[in-house]
Amino acid sequence: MLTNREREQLEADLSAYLDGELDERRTAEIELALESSEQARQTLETLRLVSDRLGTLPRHRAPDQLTSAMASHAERRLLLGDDTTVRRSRIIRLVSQISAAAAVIAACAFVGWQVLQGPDTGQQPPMERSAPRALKNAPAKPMAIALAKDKKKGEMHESRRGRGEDAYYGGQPEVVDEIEAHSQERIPQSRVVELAELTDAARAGEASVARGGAAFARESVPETREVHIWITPRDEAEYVRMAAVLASWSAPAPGRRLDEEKSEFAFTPADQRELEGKLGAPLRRSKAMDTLGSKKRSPSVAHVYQISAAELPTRIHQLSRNIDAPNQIRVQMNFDPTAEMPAGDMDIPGDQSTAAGTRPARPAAPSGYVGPDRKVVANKSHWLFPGGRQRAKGDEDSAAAEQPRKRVTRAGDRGRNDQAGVGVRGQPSAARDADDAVVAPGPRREAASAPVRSSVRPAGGAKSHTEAPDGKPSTVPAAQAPAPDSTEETLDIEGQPKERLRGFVRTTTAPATTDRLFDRLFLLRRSGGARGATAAATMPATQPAADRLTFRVTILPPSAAPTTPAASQPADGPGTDTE
Amino acid sequence: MCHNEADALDLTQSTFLKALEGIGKFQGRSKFYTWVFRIAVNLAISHRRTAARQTQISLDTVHKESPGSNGSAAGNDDVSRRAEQRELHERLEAALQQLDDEFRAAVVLKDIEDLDYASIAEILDVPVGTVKSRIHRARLLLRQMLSGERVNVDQP
Repeated sequence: MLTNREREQLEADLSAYLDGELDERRTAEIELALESSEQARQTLETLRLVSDRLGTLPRHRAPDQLTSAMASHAERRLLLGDDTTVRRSRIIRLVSQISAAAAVIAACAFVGWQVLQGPDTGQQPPMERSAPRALKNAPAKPMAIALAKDKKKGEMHESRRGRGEDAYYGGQPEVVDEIEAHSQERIPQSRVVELAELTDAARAGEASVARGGAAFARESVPETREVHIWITPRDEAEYVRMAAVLASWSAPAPGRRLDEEKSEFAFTPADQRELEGKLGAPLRRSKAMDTLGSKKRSPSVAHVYQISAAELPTRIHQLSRNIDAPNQIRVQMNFDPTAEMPAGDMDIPGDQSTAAGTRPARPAAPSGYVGPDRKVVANKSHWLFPGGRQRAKGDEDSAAAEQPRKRVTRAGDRGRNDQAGVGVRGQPSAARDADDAVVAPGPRREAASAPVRSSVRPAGGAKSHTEAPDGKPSTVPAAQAPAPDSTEETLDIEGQPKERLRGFVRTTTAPATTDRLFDRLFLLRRSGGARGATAAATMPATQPAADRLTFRVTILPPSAAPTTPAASQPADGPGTDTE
Repeated sequence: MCHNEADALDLTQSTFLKALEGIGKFQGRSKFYTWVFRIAVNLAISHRRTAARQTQISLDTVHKESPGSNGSAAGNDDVSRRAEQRELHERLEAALQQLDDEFRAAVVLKDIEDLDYASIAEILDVPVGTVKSRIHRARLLLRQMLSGERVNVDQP
């Protein structure tokens, strides 16, 4: 006869006995007790029944899109270089493991869901059942869910769309479902990023690049794994915020036009922090963001990235693929053409260690970026060390070191003017002002409404011609008077020895660069197949492998000139890689 | 675990995103699957706690097909069997949803995912003895629920 305590202990161990988790001694004790206790046997039987029934609950495989989404995510992390702690090979290896585990985890997550579905056909055993209908067509499901949740808050609404929109995009695969969402209120930045990530994930499955207009997700037939997401900003500030996300290579660009009359840009520091948090370490926000966002209010936004030289062509390629408002994008690159300089030997303006002789001073060899007007605007604002280490904020000479940056940043405030005078960003203020004066013979908005072609005379040319929209060329000094204390100087790209200009600069010496710089195909050619190996090959052998380029992407507001969606769309269709 | 297909999909994706982001913290002291499971379970539990504070209506349930809308070719016996099975699954699912998170996680990992106690303990970050008691307790509660007994799910 068992005591109460023994009975309680016995009952407590019955499940473990049932699961075979007891040691031999305890198992023997349980079996002995079971022989003598009818109640224990009944309890064991009911426990077994419950366990067996739970085991009959259907399991489901994770959708196939998950694997590609994860691979895309991992690839993006690798490309962005935001994982400094994990070896790439390890990531790649483990991604495959993760993908393999997807089915198992998903099965756990999906437990019981099937009971909410329609009657089982009974044709397949539960473990072999394919994904349910909703899952098969669910590449955009997270989007739909997000919208559904927002809908409850009155923030969004959904509507079903027909297939008539397909003509808009031309040559799209059959679309079986679409969800359109209009933003009624400000889209939280987190959602923008979320959408961006979703789009990025979808792109892994050869998804088309979404572009502006409305915001809607489109579920396509499973075979195409295609998801379109359009984002309609509520206002221009939202547009710019999303444009900032686009600059993170995570999202397609909305081709929506910015009303020239609106120049609102409320990219607050909080937004910036959130964005940086969302986008991760690779985003190195320059002072431009502070200036643009919180003080000056400008319709442009700039991001500064530190990326490896090998990655740059890929980034350019991605940018050219993802953003269909090329005249809104300006890419500038700072690089160190002094290949012989060892890492850590960069001349930092105001750096006391340099002045004290602890670091050998080097000649004022220019680094620079390439403007669409074929200029190399060199500057010595080496606020990055060659190894990519950013200057500590607390440095006493940080103000002096950042001075050139601020100058460049303020140039960004003139986004509209810059748009007209393409390539003037980063020039010394005097030269820039002169350019502005020439570029805008009439109201600046008019000047901004159409791209202005600038050209620079060949080597030795001290003049640059800037052609205003009215076609009247004006002449300004090309390298007009950098301020005495300025570390910037304007160089004529064709006046520089090619060995100093290196890869990207060399490619921009092609004629009609202004027109072609952001042309997609041109970029493709320029990037040499958009592969890092090519870029690496163009870099001098003496360039330290760890050297980092400063890659600044500035997205300007759209020009006033209307562009139809079809016109802004690449001829070969959205999202298709022409390589 | 989360009683919703869409949420399950989101959680699955989130699980692997977190796994990717935190893969540097995986030191190989546990099985990789166990590590991922742990992320998944934590996310699912966290999701449930969040969802518990919100009233949600699943569109899937609205659009759920009516019984017998397909399978017309099947015989009456087959229809009856599947109806019974479906009813059982619904009751099981409903019972599972009534369990506390800790009990449900343990019993799901054991009876559905067929993990051993040690792995479950590692996933849930509790001792094996706790896993044992939770599984047993969960089964008893499920038995009571399925038999129509009045169950106090809060009782220890």
